[in-house]
Amino acid sequence: MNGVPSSTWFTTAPHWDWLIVLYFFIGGLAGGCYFLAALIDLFGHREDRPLARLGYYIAFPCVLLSGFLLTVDLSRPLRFWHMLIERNTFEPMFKYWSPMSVGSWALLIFGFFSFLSFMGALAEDDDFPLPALRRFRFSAFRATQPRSVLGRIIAVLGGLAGFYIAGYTGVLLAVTNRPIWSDTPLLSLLFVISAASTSAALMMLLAHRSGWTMPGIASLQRMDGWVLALELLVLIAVMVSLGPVIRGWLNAWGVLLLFGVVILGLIVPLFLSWGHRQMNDFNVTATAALVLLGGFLLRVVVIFSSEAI
Amino acid sequence: MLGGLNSFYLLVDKPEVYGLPPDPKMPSRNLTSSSMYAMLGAVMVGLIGVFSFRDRGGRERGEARL
Repeated sequence: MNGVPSSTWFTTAPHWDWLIVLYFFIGGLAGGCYFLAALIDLFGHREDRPLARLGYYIAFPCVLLSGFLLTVDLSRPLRFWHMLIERNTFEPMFKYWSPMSVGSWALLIFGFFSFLSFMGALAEDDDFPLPALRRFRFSAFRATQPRSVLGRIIAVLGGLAGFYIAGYTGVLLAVTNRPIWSDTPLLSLLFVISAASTSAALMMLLAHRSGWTMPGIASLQRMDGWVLALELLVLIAVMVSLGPVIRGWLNAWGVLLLFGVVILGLIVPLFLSWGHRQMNDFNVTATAALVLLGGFLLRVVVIFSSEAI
Repeated sequence: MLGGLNSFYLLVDKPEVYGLPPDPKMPSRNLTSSSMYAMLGAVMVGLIGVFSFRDRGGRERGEARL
């Protein structure tokens, strides 16, 4: 082991596979979309309200899917509740020092807030496109929307929980004894920013495909441009902070990181976003699709490149 | 020397001889700094979001003057 660049080079991998990659990506979308929706609700304009509802509509199904992916990934899925309840005493299983334990509780809490906001958005949306869900439009949930004090509290708490879901996966990697993951504390920062860029891209794409023209879409697009630029800087900072451990990316994963994430997922969308003042149909679709692809590939590279060592 | 492992290994030669790292570190050292960076990310994204959505009025008024 002489000359190895990291003290974690000799440890065994946790064997996280595609289910975890998907969870990291979809969990990021859930947290990011809710975070953006709450931001729009609290600081945006009244005409941007459909955009905020769109964020809530994305967040809740993504949370459900996230919980499903994590449960299926367990070797014994029926024991998923052991992450939350101590099986002998039936007391809460909470370890504040463990990102995995806190993350399990955060997912439950975020699921609660995203459910409230989803139902609230549904209750006030007269144009909801799925007839099957219209029967669940209960007026009592209108109180959960940010026009009321209760609604603002829910948006703030749900937004904080959403941010936690988007970022704790990076903290989890940083405290896991594996090369690359525990060799930089910046993965959490990268994941939070990537969750914001992919969420903004998804909301922009769906709003555009729905034919919406409210000014908030341009704001979302402007925001995504700045977040993408920030993400590029943070990714460079991650590479620098890895030091000699970066040799773990001097292989096919590094090529995928360079071409799939940096060029296709960040630089090309930045060019499309900043190079064209008026975005046409192709530009919006291509920008959003590339950002989403780049965000997914980022998680693929980060997880599998360490697993491969 | 790593604390908190509840294990003690007496090596009679350098760690490298046994395939062990010469300067091991506990990954849990990253917990606080990584959490802080995540919060920093949320603050930065939040500020960009607030400015992007709040700035629209000023930008639109500026464009109307042109």
